[in-house]
Amino acid sequence: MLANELIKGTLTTIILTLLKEEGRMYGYDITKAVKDRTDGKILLKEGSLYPALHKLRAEGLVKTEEELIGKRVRIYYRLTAKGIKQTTTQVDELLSFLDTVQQLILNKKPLAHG
Amino acid sequence: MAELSDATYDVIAQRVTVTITDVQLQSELIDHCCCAVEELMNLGMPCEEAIDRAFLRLAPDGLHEIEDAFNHIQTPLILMIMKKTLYFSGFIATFCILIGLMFKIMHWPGATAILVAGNLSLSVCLIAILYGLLTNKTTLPRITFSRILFGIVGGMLLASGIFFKIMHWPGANILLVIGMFLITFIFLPIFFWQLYRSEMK
Repeated sequence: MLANELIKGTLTTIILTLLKEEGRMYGYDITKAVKDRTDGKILLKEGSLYPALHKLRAEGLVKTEEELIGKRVRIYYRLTAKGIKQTTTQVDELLSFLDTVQQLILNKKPLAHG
Repeated sequence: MAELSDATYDVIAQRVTVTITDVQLQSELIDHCCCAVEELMNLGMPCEEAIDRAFLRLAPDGLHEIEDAFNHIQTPLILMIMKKTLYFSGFIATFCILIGLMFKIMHWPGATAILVAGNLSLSVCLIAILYGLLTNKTTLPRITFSRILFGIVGGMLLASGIFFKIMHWPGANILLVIGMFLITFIFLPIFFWQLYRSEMK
């Protein structure tokens, strides 16, 4: 399992990307998708996932839909128009950051000139 | 695919609702646990063991950790609303009090209504500060908490006293005396003592 600190900074980008691809998902669905796609290398902590989902909703990036499954209320998350735009921005930023980190660590380019 | 019985659902629901207070979070965690229990039961695990395992996986240190993390995320939103209330009511209060005073001095009609509106806004402003103080009381040193509390209460009484005096309402003197006492004998000594100590460090 990857370090929690690394996941923490990318959690919202992971959630937004999954929602963009899948359309709508509920909490358990998201943890399962992350686990399956990463062969169990990334396990989302529910203690981080649900607060992050609620924060995204408060920021207007996702909206919720309720569905009754027997006695259970299932809450699905779906991207808003603002969320779709934000996903593109965050993914671009993350990829660019990863690129820079890779350059920094593997190529060991000088940090400052002169 | 194993389907949960109502009794199993009730056990899970009860374990969640006992700790989690937010209704939407409750629904989500109940559904999450039910899904996890179903998955474990499909692998052949007995129901009771599956419930225990699902809860252990969900929150190894107890469900309160999710509630705490959830509250931690929610706090900035409450603080943001409080700050907006503070700035808005603060602006209305100073605006109305200044305009109201001018109306009063010039003996123009409507001075009382404007001053009352200003004083009400000031009360909202001070209540917002008081709320912020009380929600952060565990993070503040006791002496600092006391200083701010007495400062707010003293300020409220003093402001109300001045307002009552201007309006010639009864009770102005007692408000002024108590307000002045709190500010002079409690707030200011603590304030200057703390200032002195921080300068000496």
